[in-house]
Amino acid sequence: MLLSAPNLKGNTVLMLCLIVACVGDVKAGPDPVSFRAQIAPILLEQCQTCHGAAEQKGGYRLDTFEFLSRNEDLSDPVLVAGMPEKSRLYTSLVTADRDERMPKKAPPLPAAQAELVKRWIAEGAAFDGGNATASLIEMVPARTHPKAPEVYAQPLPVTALTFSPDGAEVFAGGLRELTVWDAATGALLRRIGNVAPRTFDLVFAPDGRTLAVAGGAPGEYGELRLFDPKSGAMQSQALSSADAVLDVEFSPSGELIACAGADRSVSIVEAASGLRRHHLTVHSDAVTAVAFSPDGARIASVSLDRGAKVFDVATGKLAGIYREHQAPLYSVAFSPDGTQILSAGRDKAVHGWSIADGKKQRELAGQGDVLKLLVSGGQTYLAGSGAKLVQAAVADLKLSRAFEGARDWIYSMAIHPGTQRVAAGSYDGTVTIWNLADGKVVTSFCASPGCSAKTAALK
Amino acid sequence: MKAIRLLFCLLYLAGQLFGAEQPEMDKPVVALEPVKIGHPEKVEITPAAVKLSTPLQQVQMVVTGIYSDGTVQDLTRAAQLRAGSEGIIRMDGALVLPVADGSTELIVRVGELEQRVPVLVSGQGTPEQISFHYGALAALSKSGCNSGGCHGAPSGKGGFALSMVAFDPEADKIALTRDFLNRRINLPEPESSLLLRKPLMKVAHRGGQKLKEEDESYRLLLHWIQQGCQFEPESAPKLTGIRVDPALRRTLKWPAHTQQLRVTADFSDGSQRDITRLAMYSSSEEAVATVGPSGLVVGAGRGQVGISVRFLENVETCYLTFVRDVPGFEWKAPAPANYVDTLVFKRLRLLQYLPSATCTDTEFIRRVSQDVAGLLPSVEVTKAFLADGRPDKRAALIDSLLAGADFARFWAFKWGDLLRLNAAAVSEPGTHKYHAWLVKAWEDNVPYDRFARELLTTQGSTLEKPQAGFFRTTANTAEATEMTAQIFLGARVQCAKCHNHPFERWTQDNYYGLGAFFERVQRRKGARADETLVFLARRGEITQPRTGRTMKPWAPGAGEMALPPDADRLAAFADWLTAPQNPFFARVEVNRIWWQLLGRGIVEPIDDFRESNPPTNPELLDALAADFTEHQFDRRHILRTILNSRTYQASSRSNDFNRSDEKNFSHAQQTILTAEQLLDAVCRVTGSPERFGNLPIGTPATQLPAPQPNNTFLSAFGQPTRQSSCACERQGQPSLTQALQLSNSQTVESRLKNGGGKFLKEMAAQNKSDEEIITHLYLAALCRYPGEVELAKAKAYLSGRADRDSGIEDIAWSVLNLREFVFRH
Repeated sequence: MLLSAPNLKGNTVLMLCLIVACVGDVKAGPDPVSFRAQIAPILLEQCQTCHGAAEQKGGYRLDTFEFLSRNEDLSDPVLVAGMPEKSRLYTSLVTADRDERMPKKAPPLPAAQAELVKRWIAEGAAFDGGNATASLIEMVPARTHPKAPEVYAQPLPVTALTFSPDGAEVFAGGLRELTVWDAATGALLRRIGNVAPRTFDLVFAPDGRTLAVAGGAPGEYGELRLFDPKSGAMQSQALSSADAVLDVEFSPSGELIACAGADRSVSIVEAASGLRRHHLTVHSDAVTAVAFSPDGARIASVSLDRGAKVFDVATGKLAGIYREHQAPLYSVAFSPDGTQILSAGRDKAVHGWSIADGKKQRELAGQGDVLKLLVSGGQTYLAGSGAKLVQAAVADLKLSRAFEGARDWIYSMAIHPGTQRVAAGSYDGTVTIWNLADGKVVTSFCASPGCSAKTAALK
Repeated sequence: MKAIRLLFCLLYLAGQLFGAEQPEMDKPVVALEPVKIGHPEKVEITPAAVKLSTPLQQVQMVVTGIYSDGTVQDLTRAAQLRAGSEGIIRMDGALVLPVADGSTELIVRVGELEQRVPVLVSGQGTPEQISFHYGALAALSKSGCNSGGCHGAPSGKGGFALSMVAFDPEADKIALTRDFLNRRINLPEPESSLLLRKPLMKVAHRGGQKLKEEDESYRLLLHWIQQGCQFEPESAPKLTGIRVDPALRRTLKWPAHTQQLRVTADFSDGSQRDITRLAMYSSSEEAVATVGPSGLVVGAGRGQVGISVRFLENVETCYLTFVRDVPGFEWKAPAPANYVDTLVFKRLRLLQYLPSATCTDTEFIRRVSQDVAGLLPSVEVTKAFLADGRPDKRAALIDSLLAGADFARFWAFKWGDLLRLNAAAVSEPGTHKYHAWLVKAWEDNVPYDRFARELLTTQGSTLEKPQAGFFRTTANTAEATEMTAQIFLGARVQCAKCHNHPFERWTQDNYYGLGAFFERVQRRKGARADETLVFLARRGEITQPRTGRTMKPWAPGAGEMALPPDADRLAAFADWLTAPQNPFFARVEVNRIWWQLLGRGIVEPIDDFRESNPPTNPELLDALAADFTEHQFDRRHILRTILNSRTYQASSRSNDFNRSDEKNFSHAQQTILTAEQLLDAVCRVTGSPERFGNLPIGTPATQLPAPQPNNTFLSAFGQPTRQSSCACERQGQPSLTQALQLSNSQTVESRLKNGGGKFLKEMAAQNKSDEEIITHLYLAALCRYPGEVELAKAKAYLSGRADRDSGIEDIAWSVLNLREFVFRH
């Protein structure tokens, strides 16, 4: 068993670390294994579910190098530099005892991976990842994603959508790519690659020169990447996480980026430097949406844990909480005056509530599960399982218009006030664009290259 | 003295913890015995013709040998199967898979015999549309994804919730495809779907590896995603049922110990499909036989097993009996006293267990008095019985016990447990009235059908009609439904309140359908103190919460009942329940009586009748039920029949040929006396009754109207608080507290010390000799005379002591701490 032996003397640990560090300096062989590039990805892929920040089975953590090399149980050390056969990190991968072998209840790791771990330890278990207390996720080099398929075998649900700053183009999340469409005709204009398998949100910086792309491989990793929307070149990877990034917002000034993810956290990073200001682990389930207040001083977040919360951007401190929802939440927005929040999800009602006291002020029900909700010009636009987009005034949540024409659950939505258009992306792969003024469909197209939408109707 | 007591205490404890006979279990055999084909008279191959009309169909072949001596064995493992021509089918063991359209033959060779089965393959050019229900959901169920411990748990696992064994397909549609932003499915690249990568362990999965790429389940799920996660229209053919081969009970004799099952699904359009690899299997008795995921049953021991076969909400059970020659076994049994023995012995002989000899008179009188009257017999009765030389003295004792007042009160008390008579539910005075009604029913030997009808249909004031208390102890429709099912149908339906029963036929619809009978029962506080008025409303319908449908009254086997709108639904239910042909009513009650007398039900647990939990001796249960029905549900008749059997009267000492038997009644069970019986026994032996509240002095604990909450002795020995109708509420587990209660408690101590008990005072007053006192003690506590050594030791102990009284106390104390005293044997 792996133990959590808490009574070790500090200097013993320090000594061990020194041993590890010293031996680590001795380079063995011409082509040493890199922890950062070769070992950390294996640990991330295979071990984090049970030995990560959220859970430490057997009292054992592998999400930072510091934890990994701590060796709490001296009689059965995890990592002995230079001696793979004495390091549990290696022996537990290859032991013949099925009950002891890691990962549990699974076939053994591919021999090549185990061999890599062995070599790395034998070569001295050197750490080349910078900060030993940083999460492994943050040190792994950014992935290069394979090319998207030329033609999609089946339509991909449109989980992310945005208008270009001039309103002439629509960007949609594709499979390992973004697709760019003519907002008037629905013609495919270009494709941007090196994107994670799924994209869950797309948003332009206020200056229009950067496109933030939130996504990842669900259950495996999350990414927030910044792209040049014109050239399609990646500017930087602003964030890495353990599960898909589900939502991203720029602060009104464009200085900060807030994003939320399936790893249950909310992060606030500086757009220019990528420096992380806050990492808020305040929800007990995936965080599905974040929003900045109009003055940029606060952010709101909602989660599948049914909770909605408001934070002060400067301090990261909790500024409001709302508990009246009965189902997982998917969307959140501030009222134009910044004093109220609209939140909604699978309990089929939009709640308008005051940040000051966390009390519900009004409600709009009957629109099905609400997965997306935007506020623009004093109006809110919302959509979800009802397969239609509806408009209501923020002030009273009275319905004023329905935009018909979608045929399945709506996951994504975008508004362009300049051209007075609203777009929605559906499960069936279609993007529909309407005129805000009269609710008429401008165009509707399948956003999966080479596909036409076919709906697998629910009923 | 303290030291001696401590020693006794430790001995007692050791006896409790380690001394209980450890049954040597038949060790499960993992290795498969080679099939001995022998000389079958006939070889039967199922199916007789193979038809494969879509690309994903497959057919499990089963080859059976039928022998001239009437035995049958599964030869599938020994058969060689091959296609008559190339390119039409391929074989995977005894599984036939299609390759291309055409017809051929399947050549089956068993030893010297060869038979041919026609094969027709068609439709291979057309892609097969995977059904959401019978493909995707069945695959998820087969792989255990939606089991109660995994994503089928009420809130799912890891944020992914499915309905348990797919009872709510509408919710599953959303969970699989739409929910969480389409997280789990990747339509353009189906292999990348999290739904597949997790169970394959390509992405770390806390539940471990649940799928392999070669699994049928994987193939179905992948195809379903490749085809766009389609849901079949409402008009698509529906599953109407499943069939399991072999359909009849089958006995396999070692070395024959395996049985390949074949499962077929029938659809509303008349089509059929082999689902052997998609059905879920479980064994009712892993020590007897295990079953693998492809439907191969492997026998490991002797006995009967029910293999439960489940496909979505359909459950069927296949019953197999495994027998094996035991070296040196030679049948020998007491002469059967009645049909009980005939049927028990038949089973024992088949399984090669030897029944134990009949118990001694002293064992019998103690056992039967405890079982029938709940009390130890008086010293006088014991002496007279032991001295009686008549051959029918046991039958006479049984008759006199069944006619006694203690019998009626004790069995009324037992029913008090079932009916949850406790002061919190029916008030203190209410328990007295209700209990009195039960006593009267037993005294009058009210036929069980009338008894049940009174409980289930009585309306009015609980003060005037205490039996209306049935609906007072059940505060709402759910409780009334569950308690009725548990007591009268022997079914635990609680799970079906929220989802289909995970192992049985009971669906959520059934639960609310049964509930419709009780939905109109109204309970209102009466004008008088402690009065509840029970009456029926004229209207009131029950809604199935998941579907929102209004449910018609429904009963198992009878289906939905068409009743006039204002019909008395309670009466309708009672009519159905007590009809002679009702399959549950008589069986459940005779099984309960059997359990009360033999310590183990023919169906065990007694309130868990289901196909997947078969009776260990179905013929016996049927015969008892038939006898009960024929005798107008006369419970005393059934008691008398069982009590007079050699089976009931068997010794608890096992022999070399029945030591491992726990289920077939080859020997009597040694069980610890119930809390109330033990307290009464202590009181009887010491002549010092326990006082219970305001009840008359001398009221035995086994005749209490309601549990005594503050009696530490009773609670230590597991007196139930009567919160549930489950027999399991009575805890029989030995514990340290029990040992301490017997050795050191106020309850025992105060009855012994300083002449605390009447017994010592009487003995002293009557100038009895040491031998007389010791003999009296043994007769009172153990229903036997002390042995020579016991007597000599006890006498020596007394003669060596200055204080005779305290010496007698010590001896009495040590007798009360004997395993022989504490146990029924």
